[in-house]
Formats: sequence, C-alpha cells, structure tokens
Amino acid sequence: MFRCAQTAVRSQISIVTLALVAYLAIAFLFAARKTPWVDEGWIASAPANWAATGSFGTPSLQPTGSWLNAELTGIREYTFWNLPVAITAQALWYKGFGFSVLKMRSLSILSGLLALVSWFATVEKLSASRAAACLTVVMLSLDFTFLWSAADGRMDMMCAGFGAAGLAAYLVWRERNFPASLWLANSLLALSLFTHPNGALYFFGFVVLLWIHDRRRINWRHGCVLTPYLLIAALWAVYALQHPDYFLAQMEANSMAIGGTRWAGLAHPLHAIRNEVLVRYIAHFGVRPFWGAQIPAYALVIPVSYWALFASAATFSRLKSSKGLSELLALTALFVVAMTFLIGLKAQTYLILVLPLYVATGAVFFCQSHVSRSAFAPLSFLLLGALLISNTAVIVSKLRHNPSTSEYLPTVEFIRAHLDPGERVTADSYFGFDLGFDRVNDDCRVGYYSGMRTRLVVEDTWYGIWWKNLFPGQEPELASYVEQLLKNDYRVIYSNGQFRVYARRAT
Amino acid sequence: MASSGCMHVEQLEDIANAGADVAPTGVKPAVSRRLKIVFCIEAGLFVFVAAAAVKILLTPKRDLAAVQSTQTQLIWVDQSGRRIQSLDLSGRYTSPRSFFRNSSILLNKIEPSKSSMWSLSPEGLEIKPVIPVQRRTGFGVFAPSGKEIVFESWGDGVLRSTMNTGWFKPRRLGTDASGIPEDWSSDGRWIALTKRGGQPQELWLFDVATGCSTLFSKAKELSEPRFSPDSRWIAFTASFGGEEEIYRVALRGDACSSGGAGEPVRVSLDGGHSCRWADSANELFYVDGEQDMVAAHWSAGSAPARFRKMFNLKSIAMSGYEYRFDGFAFDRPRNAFVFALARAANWDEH
Repeated sequence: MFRCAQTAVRSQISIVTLALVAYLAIAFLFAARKTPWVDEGWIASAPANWAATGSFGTPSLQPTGSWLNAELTGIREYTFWNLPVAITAQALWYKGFGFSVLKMRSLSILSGLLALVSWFATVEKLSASRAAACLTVVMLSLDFTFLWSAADGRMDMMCAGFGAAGLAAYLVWRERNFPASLWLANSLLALSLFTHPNGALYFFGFVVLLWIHDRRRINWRHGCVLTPYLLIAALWAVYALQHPDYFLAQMEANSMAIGGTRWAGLAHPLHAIRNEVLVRYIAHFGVRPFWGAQIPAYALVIPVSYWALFASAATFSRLKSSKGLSELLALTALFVVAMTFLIGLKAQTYLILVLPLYVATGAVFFCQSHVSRSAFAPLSFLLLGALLISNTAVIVSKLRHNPSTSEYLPTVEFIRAHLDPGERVTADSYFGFDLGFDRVNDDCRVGYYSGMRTRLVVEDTWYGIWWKNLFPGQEPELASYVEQLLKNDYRVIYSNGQFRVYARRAT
Repeated sequence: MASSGCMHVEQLEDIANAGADVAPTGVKPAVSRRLKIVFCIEAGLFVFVAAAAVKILLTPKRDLAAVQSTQTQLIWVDQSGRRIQSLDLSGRYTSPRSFFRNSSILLNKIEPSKSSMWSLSPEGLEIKPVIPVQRRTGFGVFAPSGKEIVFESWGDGVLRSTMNTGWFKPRRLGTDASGIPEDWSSDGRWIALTKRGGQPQELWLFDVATGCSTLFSKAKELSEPRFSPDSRWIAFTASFGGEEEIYRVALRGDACSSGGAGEPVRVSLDGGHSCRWADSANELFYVDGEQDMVAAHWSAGSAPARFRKMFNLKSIAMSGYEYRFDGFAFDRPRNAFVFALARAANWDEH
C-alpha cells in the first residue's frame, strides 16, 4: 500500500516536472519567435533607459504618439503611466542581466513559473487532490494563451504570478501560521496590485477565500498586514511628487483609452457582455487575434470548452458535494464578472487572469467526477481532451512560423542600413529593442501634434490598426491627415509581412 | 536563505499575535509594543500617501505641450491663388466650413483629448466657441436658416441644437443617425453624414422632415459630401478600389423613402478630393492628384465640360506653415478659398 502510494507520488512529481520543463521550453521558443509588439516597446523603453542612463523617461515615445487620444505630458522625462512594480523589476533585471527582448520576456516566463507552482499549491490545498493539482499544471503548461502571455514582455504574467502566489501563500500557510500567511499573501498581492491594476482581482479573490475559511479568526489586529500596500504606495508617491503635474496628466491620459472606460460595463451591461465574449475571447481565439497574431480558426474550441467546463462543473458541484470545487467556481465567477463589467478595456492580454481558474476548475471537476464515477466523468474527459488537443495544435502551428526572423529582423536591418547616424525613424517603440530607443520616434500621429516628421516611417500591424480602424471613427481629421501625408509626401520603399517602410518623396 | 525566511515569518507571526493569545479569557488583550509600532508605521505611511494624493490632485494642470507649440494661420486665397487676407490663431484649428446663407466660418479646434467648434465672424474676424459644452465636439454644420446646428459629439453621437443665445439644449438628431455630419442641403431637407470607421465607407442622408436615415452610397473610401446650392446634386470624394475621384449624384425627392440614388457621375479627370461647390450648381472646385485646385464647370447634363487649374496648394504655404490636408472652405462673400495652415513650433524635418 505504502509502496503504491510512494510510486503514485513519484509519478505525479515526474509529471509536474515534465510539464514545467515543457512549459519553459515552449515559452522560450515562443519568446524567440514572436515579433515584439507595441506594448512591449512602450513598457521596456523606460526601464531600459534607466538601466543605461539612470533616467526613468521613455525616450522613444512622443507624448502625443501613443494610441491614447491624450497627451502623456513629460513622458520623455518621467514614466508615470505604468504602475511601479513591473517597470522597477524590469529596470533591476536589465541592470543585472543586460537588455534584450528575450531578457525582457524571460522575466515574464519566470513569473509564469511562479504562477504554475502557485496554482499547483492552491488547487492541492482547496481540493485535497494532488492529481487535480498535477492536471492543472499540465493543462496550463500546454495552454497556448498562458504560454503566449509568458513569452510576452507585458506585465500581465507578472501580475498573475504575484496574484496567484498571494492566494497560494494564504492557503498553504493559513493552518500552520495564520498571521504569517496573511503577511505573505498581502505582500504578494500588493506586488500584484502595483504591477497592474488588474491585481485587484486577486485581492478580491483573497477576500473571498478569507471570508470562506477564516472569517471567524480575523480581527482588527490583522490590519497590520496592510503595510505592504501602504509601503509601495508611499514609495510610488515619492516618485510621483517629483513632478505631480506630469503624474496627473499621464494618469488622466492613460484612463482615456478608447473603449477603456472602467465603469462603462456597469452603465451598459449588455454591451459589456457582448464585448467580453466577442472581443476578449472569440476574437483572440482565431477570429481577430490582435495580440496573438495568426491563430487558426479551430482555436475557437478552446473558449467554448472553457465555458462548457465551467457550466458542467457548476452543475456537478450543485448535484454532488465536492471539496474545493465550489471555491474555485466562486473565484472564477468573480473574475469573469469583474472582467466583464469593471474592466472596460477588452484587452486580450487580460485573459491570463482568468484562464488558470478555468483550468483549475476543470481539473478538479475532472478528478472528482472520475473518483465519484459520476455521469459527468465522460463529459469532463471530453472537454479537457478537446482543450488539450486544440491547445497543442495551436502551439504546433505557432511554432512552425518564425515572424521575428522572417519579417521583423530583416525590416530592422533595412532600416538600420537606411538611417543616417543620429537620425530617428518613426516607428512603434519596440523597434528600440534593436535600433536603440533613442533612435525611434514612436508617433502614430506622424507629427500631427508633435511637428516631428522623420524621413522614414514604418507601418506595422499596430500603426495600421490605429490609422485605418481607430482614427477614422475617433479622430477623423487625423485619419485624413495621415492618409494624405503618406500618399502625397511618402512612398513605400520596403515591404515585408506586416511591415511597410515609407520614405519621404523629396529624399 | 530558507532559515532567514523562517525567522522572518516567525517574527511577523509574533507581531500579529503578540498580546492576542496570552491574555487570560475574559480580559481584553493588550496590544503588544511591536504591533503598536507597526500600526504607527502604517498610520505614518497612510498620512504620507493621502497628503501626496491631495498635493497631486491640487496641482494645477499644465497646458498641454502639443497645444502650446501649435499655431494656425487662416488664409484667404482668391481664384488666381493670390493671398488676400490672413489671420493667426493660437492652437490647431482645422476643417473650415462655410454655408450658403450664413457668412460665419466654422472651425474645429483640435487638441489631444479635446475637440471643440469655433465660429469666425465675417466682419471682425473674431473667433469664439460655438456651443457652451464641455463634451468633445466637432464637425458642426449650420442649418440654412442659421438658427440650428448639427454636430458630432463623441460619446453622444450626432446632436442637433438651436442656436438661440442663452438657450442651448442639444438632442439626438435621430435614433438611427450616426457618423460625421458633413453638410445640410440649402432647401433644409437633407443632412449628409459619413460613416468612415470601417470599410466600405458610407454616405447617409438624414431626412429632416421625417427623421429617417437612408444609406445613399458606399465606397471603399468616401468623404466630404457637399450639396449643390440648388440642392439637386450631391458631390463627394470616393474610391471604388482605385484612386480617389470626385463624383456627383442627382438627388431625387424620394431618396429617403426609396433608398435609391442616381448613378454616380465621375467629375474629376485624374484623381481628386475635397470638393466644394461654387455659387452655382454648374461649378465645382476640387483638389486633384497633383495638389492643384481645379474648377470643373459644365453648362448642363452630367459630364463636366471644362476644367481650369487655378493654383497649386503648395504655393499657398508660408515659411514654417503648411497646408496639412485639414480641409478648406469656399468663402462666398469674399469669393475666396479659406485654408487652415498648421504650424508646430518644434517642426522638425529630420
């Protein structure tokens, strides 16, 4: 009996280890093949600049050059529009290990590792099933969106990693040492919250778990565990007070993301549900994947399977008492509702917040339905199988392409060959990874406000979206200006995949 | 590393637990000294963060750099290309619009995150805001009577309001009217709107009498529709796949109810955009592919008979200022074109 149990534990550890190795391998392969994208450039510019010069300005970005219909006043001297933890962590990371797009993404991959370990611990604690915890790790390690996010320099995976670690720390330590679990959990949750505002979801999740498990143990003395939030806020305030007018201008500008009004979902709930389903999920999984680049249409199986898993698990949980499943369902519902109604900006990168919960719920549902020999067992098998197969197929399909080598790097080489010493090129900030951020003039309005017009202009997917889809409706005069400017004053001198390089006609 | 972590956790536990578990039952537990210290630190941090937040919120807002550094020059150019008048304005004013029975020039003032409508009086060339609202507005079109205006309000859609002094109450133009208001026919019946957010781009006509909108025309690209002075034609810039050209279409009285439009007749010869009617429905101005201002004149029928190149747009710019495709109007009282030239103080051609 003992030997049998020992063998089971060993095999589970082997499976988890294999899954983690697979995760690292695929994430690094993605990281090496993905073309950098607009957010990575915006986020990396300031910490890379700090590592090189000691200034936290964002040298590549024109104050009126981002997609926001507002001015990021002083962005070249101070970077206030991003929360402090992610850019500080990146700055220290670059200082220690040097700067490159792969090094930027490595930090996210490590955060993904933290998230995987944390979800293992959380699921094991909640469900008392190591098999479910192992299955969660395996499913997440082979989840395309999880891997794509891990191989991305944006701060979402860092936010998710700290948030998941906060929940896990509380659950793992709460029985052994309750106050310590609160301190650890809140320290990690504070890091998550100050990495990205979406970290608030994990804080609310923690409050739900605290209410379920320990509402009788908590008292006013535990208010002392709020120190980490106040400490980070105070440190951030010290930085903000160096230029409060810039801080105010940049935060206000960042709140003006088109379609990103935080409370719009509450004012127009049906609109919010439609956008959540269509823009966040359906578009990402093959229909119009802005962030994930080319994704085959069969990837639509993935969100449908997640929703079906959630619905089946909820039904199973009502019919049969199952340890931990109701807590995971409550957390998933909380995240889904908050993302639908409180997060107006339907960014596909935010999927990483909720996907681990779908997976964890599905894994616990799968294990408990099989242990209890429920009629739901075949359904859970079918849905998890569909998820695994479709995710694996998408991963294989993505690994067959290498747009970084075939499109991005040749474009960089072309620009480099045509730039004079000291000259800047109007392009998305991420070209700074290879050209240097001081050589890039990121201004998707091509001088409309800034007056800065460079000899070379690079159109990529993102500039194309702003020029052809966003500006005609939101800033029609600007759309007309860009269209006429490129048509009359510039000509295309290079084209490769998503990239087009324009040169001014006079030259 | 691990042992120091454990030490830390134990210390934290002590802090939170101190005084809580050692007190005898029924006795109010004393607060430990270390817990008091932690709460003091928290209070200090809280006060600091709150004070910082207040200071930040009370900091006067800066003028946007993009606004400070931008200037506009309005110039009036006669049909030979000669500059006859100019006016310097601080800020970026665009898209001048003129109207048949209203001699004011309407302009959009564009700033990052803001857009507002301004009116230039014909006599003293005084500029003042058209409507007293804080919303982001633009693309105003006066009714032929001059007593009403239709405009775009981002977030609220297309609004319509009377222009009586002291009473301004905008309301939705119609439940199904959306897009950019482009022109109001001189007989007061039609308002032309374009929808340019996607493809194909669409031209809609709103029937003021019935309140219904009709899709009138669509093209890969479609912009700047303008009604002829006699309200019998509408001209616009469109691309049906190739170059942008100027087209005109006969308006039928039942365009709204039937949804039908006459066949578009191409006006321009070799590319064209930004058409404006002259005083009569027999003459149309537009900018051709070489940036020349062209007058197309026809006596009757559907095909333009004569073309006359008047001047090149590049010739009207002054040092430091450029015509940056911000649109122009035909100022009938002056029989001249009015252009908005933009200048950025830090204009850099590097």
